[in-house]
Formats: sequence, structure tokens, C-alpha cells
Amino acid sequence: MERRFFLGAAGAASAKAADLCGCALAPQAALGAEAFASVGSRIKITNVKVFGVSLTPDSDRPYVFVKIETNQDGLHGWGEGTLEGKAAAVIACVQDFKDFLIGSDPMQVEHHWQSMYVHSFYRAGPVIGSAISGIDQALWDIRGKAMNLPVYKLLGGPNDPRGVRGYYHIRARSKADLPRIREEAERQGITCFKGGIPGYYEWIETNAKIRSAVQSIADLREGLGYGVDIGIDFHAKTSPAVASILVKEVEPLKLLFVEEPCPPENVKAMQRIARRSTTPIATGERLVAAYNCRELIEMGVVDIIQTDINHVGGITALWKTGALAEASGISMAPHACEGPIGGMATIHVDAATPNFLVQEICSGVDVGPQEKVWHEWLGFPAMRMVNGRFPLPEKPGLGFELKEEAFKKYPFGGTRPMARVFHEDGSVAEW
Amino acid sequence: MPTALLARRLRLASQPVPFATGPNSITEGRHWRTPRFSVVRLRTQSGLVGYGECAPIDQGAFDAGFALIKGREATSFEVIRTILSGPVEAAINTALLDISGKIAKVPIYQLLGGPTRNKARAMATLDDPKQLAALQKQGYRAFRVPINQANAAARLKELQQAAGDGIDFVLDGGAKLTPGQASTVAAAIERLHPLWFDEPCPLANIRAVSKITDENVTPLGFGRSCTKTLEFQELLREQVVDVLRPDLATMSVCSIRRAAAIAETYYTAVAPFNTGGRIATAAGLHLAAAIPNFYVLDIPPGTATVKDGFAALPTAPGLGIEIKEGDWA
Repeated sequence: MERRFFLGAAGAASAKAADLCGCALAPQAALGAEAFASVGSRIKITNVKVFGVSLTPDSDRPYVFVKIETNQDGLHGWGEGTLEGKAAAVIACVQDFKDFLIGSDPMQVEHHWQSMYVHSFYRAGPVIGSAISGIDQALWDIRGKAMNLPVYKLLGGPNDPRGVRGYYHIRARSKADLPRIREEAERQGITCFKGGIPGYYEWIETNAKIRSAVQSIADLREGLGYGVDIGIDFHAKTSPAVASILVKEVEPLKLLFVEEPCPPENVKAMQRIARRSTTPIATGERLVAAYNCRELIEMGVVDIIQTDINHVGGITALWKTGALAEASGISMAPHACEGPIGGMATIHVDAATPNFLVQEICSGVDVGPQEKVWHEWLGFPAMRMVNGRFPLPEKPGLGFELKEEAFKKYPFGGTRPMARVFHEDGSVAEW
Repeated sequence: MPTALLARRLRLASQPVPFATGPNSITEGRHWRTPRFSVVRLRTQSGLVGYGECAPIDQGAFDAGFALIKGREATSFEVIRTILSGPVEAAINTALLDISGKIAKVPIYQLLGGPTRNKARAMATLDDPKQLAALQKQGYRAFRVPINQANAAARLKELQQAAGDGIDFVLDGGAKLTPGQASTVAAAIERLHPLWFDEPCPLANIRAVSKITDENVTPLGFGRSCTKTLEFQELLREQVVDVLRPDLATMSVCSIRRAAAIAETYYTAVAPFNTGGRIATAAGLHLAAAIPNFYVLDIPPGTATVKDGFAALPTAPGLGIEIKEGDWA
């Protein structure tokens, strides 16, 4: 491997000569490793492994975990690039990046991020973004372990040693479930929840549908009281026309935010909704890299940016979106609905982000089967709050130990499509 | 701001947030003032020492800043950034990074995710054209040249001829021209291709400044009067800047790093302005190797070794330079 890289460098140097029109592009595979010999660390990446892990054989969202190994005894890092519904594509993409990494210095995470993103030429959508995310997190885990510090200290934190404030999902099937959830929240010290709106929405909606959506949100507020913050996720199910009405109708309920009131591609469409109400707007979970958050922030559309550490480009990119938002006085509340590695990674960024608001985890007040598996893997109740906060890990790196063997019970069941829903007339609906 | 969010913010702001303490807590601070800059030294409970530099400040400003951060862990440099303001923030930030690098046993740029490059392009100030040959001999290949409205194009042509190929110039307007005058200068030098036109006018009215960029393609550098990240954000949004010029004497490495993250999304370069001593230059070199969109650093002669137009990066932990207290050059 080393030999091939070395020859690559020699080739690149000699190919520098004649080029009139940019046609003599010479691959410089070796530049990364060789050029930094005098200023890098002695640590070298020796292997990049990627695992698909399905908690149930038919899971539509298998975890994608990345493990990066080094030439230092036992020094390795874990990251997560889970992309719901597209597991095999991310696994393949991580493997494509192996050549970028093997033989190079894992300390240079910013350099590797730039190389993976820029040298992918077409830039990154969710598949490449998630692959970069998994690799980036694993590099930060290695960096923290090599420097003997938890990642949030490398990022200049923590804001609060007691941990980072979090929220659970409400997960109520009916109003009757709410009193128990409220009691449980008080017992556990939970200060924030998120719910959604029932059903699927057409381009324009009926009086009955609008009233029922507003009533469902009012029921959540009534059932949980005004003592907790509540965010409502529209999940981009609504058009700007329908969302504008709902967002305005729920103003008296003093929500913490309404999330993804319309799909993410058209910032001006979302701006139209945001301008018509005082209800704060949260969005960003489907965005990759700080580049794609710029317009939302610049145009003042978003109140709370929700980029996801498993898609945006890992710790490096989540930190940067936070920096962009901070300069505009915008809060950050990262999305997290995947596995425990990304969950742990996002806590580190939260703890070092001055404009951090609250951290999601797709769990409820009750410990579910998924959380039990996480506990079994990491040896502690990962992503469970204590007094309303996710505790900060003390160990170096991302703060956990994990063995590959842990996944044996959960073999990769392959990529399966996420939910596909349709309207009454058979046309495609957002969910 | 929406009322619910504002209410939450106010509620949170009224609660004091505790902080952790331990061997890395800052226990002692000292400040020296020289005619050109101030130097601060912080010491941790464990005995690690870090240095930082900023524009000259009074002892009172240092004492007030130090009182706000005493006891906090050196590694909580981003939290401390939000607690302090003014030049003292820049000096304390560098000192905290120096200590944090020593705790982690790596140079600051590795702590921050670098290196993104293996050397940093250097620039010297050319106050007197007669110094050109000597500075070229010292290894510089880029120069910042003060100009006025009348002499800009002629001065640049003369220098280009005298210097020969491979030497480049930044013309420095020193924020003394009006936007209209600056636009005339930008037009006159457009086809001579200086690296950029620095501080062509004061940043009073950004709409007026945009006349220069509307009428010319000469790249513009702005920022040495800016002290907050959000000021750079505004310049980028209004599309009047091609090179961000935050001053290391008044903005911290961590603040500039944030401005750089914003600039990255506008495909715009960062070239820290620096007229300080060895500590500020070292801080600039670490910053250069931590961000992807660095272009060039002002390196006052004698504050770092320059060869073939570039300065080498320090490789020892923290700032990675030897410091003799009292010998503040």
C-alpha cells in the first residue's frame, strides 16, 4: 500500500509539466500522507470497517456503523452514518472513501473532511453526507482518545457540566395516555417533549382536517401542561398553504417550535410560512454541510437549526452549522433518530455550542427495546436523560467502548424502503 | 424573536450555570503591556502555563477579564470566549489554547482538527519600497503596500517591475479613501492583478462600499476594524468582501475560526491581519493550519522564519514556540 502511494506521488510530480487546458489532471493519492510528515502525528489509519446492523431482520433503518483502526495498539474510533432507507448505499460509499484514508493521519479531521467533500466533485447529498458523517465521528473518537480528552473538551466545552438538555417524543396514542406521561416526566425531570400531527395532508386541506390537526396539538398542550416545552413536528407533510394556517392557529399554545412545516428544498417557501406567524420555526435534519444551511440562516427563515450529526457531515459539519447559526442569533437543536453512536457524538457538540437549545432522541419516557440494546452494547444507559439532561461522558473520545462482536446478534438485513404512504386517490403523500 | 423562544432565553439567562473545576482550572493570571501589544500568561492548578497576545490593554481590563474566568478549566475555551469581550478575549483565548494543546500534548492546530496545510503563506508590510530586496532575501514573496489615491497604479507597476516574477502585492488603502475614490483606484489597478485591495475605505455604509465591487473585479479585503463574527457575516451577505482580514490583536483565534466557517460557505478566503509579536504570529500560524480557507498571514519580519514565501508550522505542543518572559519582541 505504502509503495503504491509513493509511486503515485512521484508520478504526480513528473506530470506537472505540460498542460494548456486543464487536461493533465494528475492523481495525487500520496499527497495527503507524505505532505504532512513533518507536521502530522505518528498515528496512521490502517483500516476502515463498516457494519450494517439491523435490530430486527425487517428493519427499514439498519444502523450503519464505521470503525477506523490505526497503527497504534488498540487505538480505534467509532462513528455512525445511519441513513434511514438507504443503508447499503451508505455502506458502499464509506468503502469508496477507504482510499482517501488508509495510510493517512487521523488527527487531520478537517483536512479529510474537505478532501472527502470536495474531491467527491458532485458535492454531497444525504448518502455521501452520511458516509462522511460516520467517518468524521470515528476520526474525532480517535482524536479524543489520542489526546486523552472527551471530544466536547476538544471543542472548547462544556457549557454545563451537568449535561445537555434533551427531549423525548410524547408517544401518546390518545389523550388518555397523557396524564401518565406527564407524571413520568415530572418524576424524571423531563422539561421538553416533541409530538407530531396525525395523518397525511393534501396540497390544500378541508376545514375538518385543519380543525382536527389544531385540536390534536391543543390536546397535547392541555395534557402535558404549560410547565414543559413542546415542539411539534410537521415532518414536511404540509404544503406552505396548509402549514401557514396551522402555524398561525397554534400561536396561543406557545410551542417551543414547529418543525419542518414544509419540505426542505425551497427556502423561500418556508420563509413564507415563517413570516406569517410568531411560532418559532425549526428545520434542518435533511440538510448536508454548512453550505446548505447558509440560505436558511442568512434569510432569517429558521429560528432553530436542527442538522443531524449522522447526515450533515459529522462533528465537523454540525459544529460549523452551529457557528453559522450563532453569528445570526439562531439556536441549535440537533435532530437524532438513529443509533447510539451518533447520539453520543451529538451530545459532545451540544455541550460545546453556545447557542445550543435542546437535544432530540427518538425515545419516550419509557425504556424501549432499542434502548435496552444500546445499554447492552455500550454498557451504560446511553441517551437516557437524568434530571432532564443527557449526562456528559467522562472517558476520552466519544466516551464509550464497543466491540464488533456486539453486533453478531443483529446481522444486516439489507436495505428496506421506509414507509410509503398515499392519499385517498392513490397519489403520493409525504409522511 | 418569537415570544416563546425569548421567554425561554430569559429564563435560562437568569439561572447561573455551574462549571467544573480540576487540575486544568485557571488559577493565576499575569499581564505585561508593551508599546505595541499586551501579553498575558495564565497558569493552571496543575502548573501548566499558556501565553497570549492582543492589542495594548490596561491592567484593569486584564484584571476584569481574568476575574470572570478564574477557576474555569482551560479546555473550556469556547465557553470563555462567550464570557469575555474586547482585545483581552483574544489574548486569553490564545493562552487557553496554548494550555489546552499542552494538556493534549499536540500543537494547537491538531487540537482544532488540523493541519489542513503543511506550511502557511507569509506576507510582509512594505512601508518603504527600498526594503523590497532585503525582504525578498528574507524569504517573503508577498507584500502589503500602503498607497494613496494618486500613486496606486504607478506604485504597483514599479514594484512589479522591481520585484520580478513570483512576487505579489496587496495594496493597502488604510481605510482612508471614500468608496468613490476607492472605486477609481480599484479600476486603475484591475488589469495589474494585485492579490487584493485591502481596506479600500471605511466600513461606514456597506451599500456605498458595494459600489467598488459592482464596478470592479479587483478583490477586496476588509475586516481589521471588525471585532465580532457577525460583522464578517454581514460583509459576506452583502457580497463586498473577497478576503476576510480579522486582526489577531483584537479577535481571538476561536472567533476568527467561526468567521472562517461562515466564509467557507461563501467560498471566501481568510487572511488574518497581524502587526503583533511572536505570540500573535504563532497564533496566526496555528489558525492557518486549522481552517480550510486560509490564504496568507501577515508575518512581521522576525516573528517567524519565512522561506520561499511560506512560514513553517510550529510542531511542539500548544503554541510551540519558546517564550522568554520580558523579551517581548
